[in-house]
Amino acid sequence: MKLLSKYSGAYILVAIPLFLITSVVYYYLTLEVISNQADESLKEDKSYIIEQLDESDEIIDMFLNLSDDYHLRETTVDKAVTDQFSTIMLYDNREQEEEPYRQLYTSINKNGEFYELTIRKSLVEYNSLVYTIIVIGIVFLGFLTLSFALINSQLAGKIWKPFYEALNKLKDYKVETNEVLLFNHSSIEEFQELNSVISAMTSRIQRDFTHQKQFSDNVAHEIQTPLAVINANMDILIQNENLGERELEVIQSITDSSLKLSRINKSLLLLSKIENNRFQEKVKVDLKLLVTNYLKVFDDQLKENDIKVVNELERSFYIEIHSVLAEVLISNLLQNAIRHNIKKGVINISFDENTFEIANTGRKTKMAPHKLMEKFVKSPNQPDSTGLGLSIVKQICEKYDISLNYRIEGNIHIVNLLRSS
Amino acid sequence: MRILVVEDEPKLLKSILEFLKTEDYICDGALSYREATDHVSTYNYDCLIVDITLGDGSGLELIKILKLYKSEAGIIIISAKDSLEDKIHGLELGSDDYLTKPFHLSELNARLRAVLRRKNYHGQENLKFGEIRIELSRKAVYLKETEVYFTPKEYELLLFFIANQNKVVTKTSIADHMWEDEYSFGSYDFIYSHIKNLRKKFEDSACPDYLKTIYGIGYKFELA
Repeated sequence: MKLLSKYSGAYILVAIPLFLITSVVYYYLTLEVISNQADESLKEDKSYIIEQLDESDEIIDMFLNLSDDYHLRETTVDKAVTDQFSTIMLYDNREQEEEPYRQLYTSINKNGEFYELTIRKSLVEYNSLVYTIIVIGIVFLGFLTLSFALINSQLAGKIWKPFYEALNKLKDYKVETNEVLLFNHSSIEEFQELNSVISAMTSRIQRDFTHQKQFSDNVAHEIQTPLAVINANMDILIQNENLGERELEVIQSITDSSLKLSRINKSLLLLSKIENNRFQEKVKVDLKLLVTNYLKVFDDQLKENDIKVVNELERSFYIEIHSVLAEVLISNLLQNAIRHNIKKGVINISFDENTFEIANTGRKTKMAPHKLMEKFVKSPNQPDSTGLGLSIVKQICEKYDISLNYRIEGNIHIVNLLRSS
Repeated sequence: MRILVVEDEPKLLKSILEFLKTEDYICDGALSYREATDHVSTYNYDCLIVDITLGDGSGLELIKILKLYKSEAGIIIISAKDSLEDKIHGLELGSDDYLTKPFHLSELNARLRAVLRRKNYHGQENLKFGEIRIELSRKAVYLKETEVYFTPKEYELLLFFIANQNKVVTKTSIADHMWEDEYSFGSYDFIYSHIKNLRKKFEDSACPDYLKTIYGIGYKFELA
C-alpha cells in the first residue's frame, strides 16, 4: 500500500465515524436546544396567563376559549402541580395529519382555588427551522471533512515529494555508472538528512566498488607472473632425464593445476574487463560468420567425440557488439556445447527473426540452468571446467541487452539469445 | 645468435635464460629498463624478449628506442596484460610477436625461432631435421626427399616439435600452441590423433620415428 493512500485511508477511517457521530450529536443537541426554547416560551405564556388572571376574573373564560391551545379548568386536585413538559402528537384538521406539539401541564392557584392549565404550542414551525439548521450544519460539516481530506492529501503529496524523488533516484541507481546520487535541497529537516545520508552512502559504495574492481584487476594481474614462473620452472624441470614415472605424474598434476589456475585467472580478468566497461565500441557482427569460423577451430574436438553439427544458418544474424566480445560469446557457447556433449552427440544451431539458438545433446542434470550461469558453478560431470564460461556469456549478454535463456529438456541443453529489436 | 631477455621477475628471467641457453644462443638477461638500455647500447642483438611492465620503465619505451636506432633485432613482447589494445599497440610499435603470461617456454622458443627465421632468412630457409626437410616458403614437407602432404595442423605440430627438438614438450603446451586458449576441454585425445597421423607418415616414408613419448607428460622430438 502506498504511503499516501495509507495516510488518506487512515484519515477517512477516522473522519467518517467522527462525521457521523458529530452529526448525530449535533442533531440531538439542536433538538434539545429547540425544545428548550419551546419550553421557555410555554413558561412565558404561563406567567403571562397568571399575570392576566391576577388582574381580572372575567378574562379567564374569555381567553381560555380563544384557542385550542389553552385549557383552563378547575381541578379536583387541591394542591399545586409542578410544571410538566411533554411532546405530543395531535391531529390537525386543517392539515389533515398528525402534528407535533409541545405541551406544558401545570396548575394555577387563584384565590385559593386550583386550576389545571395546559398550554400547547405547535412545533411545526420549530421543526422546519430545526431541520434547516441541521441540514445546513451537516452540509457544512461534510464540506469541512472533505476539504480537510483534500488539503491533507495535497499537502502530504507535497511534503513527501522529496521522499519519492529520492526513491526514484535510488531505483535507477546503478553502481557501475560510477556516479554519486545528489539531491535538491529540501526544506524538511528529516528529508534533508535522508538525502545527505543517501549521498554519503552511495559515494561510499562507489568508492568500495572502485576499490573492489581495481583489487580484482590487480590480483588477476599479479597472479599472472607467479603462474608464469611456475610454468617456466616446470618446463625446465621436465627436461631432466632422470625423472621417474612417479615424479612425472606429480609434475603433470602440478602443470594441470597451474594451467587451470591460469585459465580461471584469464576468465576473471575478462569478466572484470567487461564489468569495467573496457569494451566500448560496438560494431555489427555476423554471428553466422563467427559460428562457421569457430566450428573450423573446434573441428578436432568435434571429430574426437563424433559430434554431428546441424548448422541451419542460411542468412546472416547480426548483433551490435564489441567484436572481441562477440568472439568470446560464440566460442564460449560452442565450447560449452562440445564439452558438455556426449559421444556421437548432436549440436543444432538455428535462428529465427530475433532468436539465435544453440542446442546440444548432453547428460541429464539436476542442476537448475540459471544456477549454471553463476560464477564457479559447474556441473558435477565436469570437474575440469572453470565454471566461468557461462558467467562470461551472461555478463556479455547483460551488457548488450541480449536476453539469455538456458533450459534443459531431458538430455537436450538449449541456449537462446534473444536480441533486442 | 645473441638474445636479450628483459624481465623484472628474477625467477622467471632465470628460467627463461636457463631454457634458452640449452639452444645455440648467447643469452643476456636484464632485470630493469636501465639494465636493458645498457645492454642494448653495448651489444647487437638478434632478438629481444621484453616484458612491458618493468619497475623503472616500460618495455614499450625500449622498443621505441630500438626502432629509433633502426635496430634490426626481432622483438617479442611478454606481458601479463592480455588485452587486444595492448597487443595491437605493441605490434604497431614494431614488435614481431606478443605472448601473454603465463606461457610455456617451449612456446616462447617456437616463437623465438620463427622470429629469427623471418629476420635472417626472410622465410626462404629450408628447415632440416634428420630425414625431414621443410621448405618454409611453400610449407612443403619432404621425408627422405619425397614430398609428403601434411595437413595444416600436422605441419604446425611438426614445426613446433622441430623448434623444440631435444626438449620435452608437454601435452598442454602442444594444445596451447595449436589451439591457443580454445582447447580447454580437459582432454588431449585430439592431440593423440594428430600425433598418430604424424607417426604414420614417418612410417610410410620409412623415415625414423623421431617422436619419443615421455610417460604422462608429453613428447620429445630427437634424433634416434
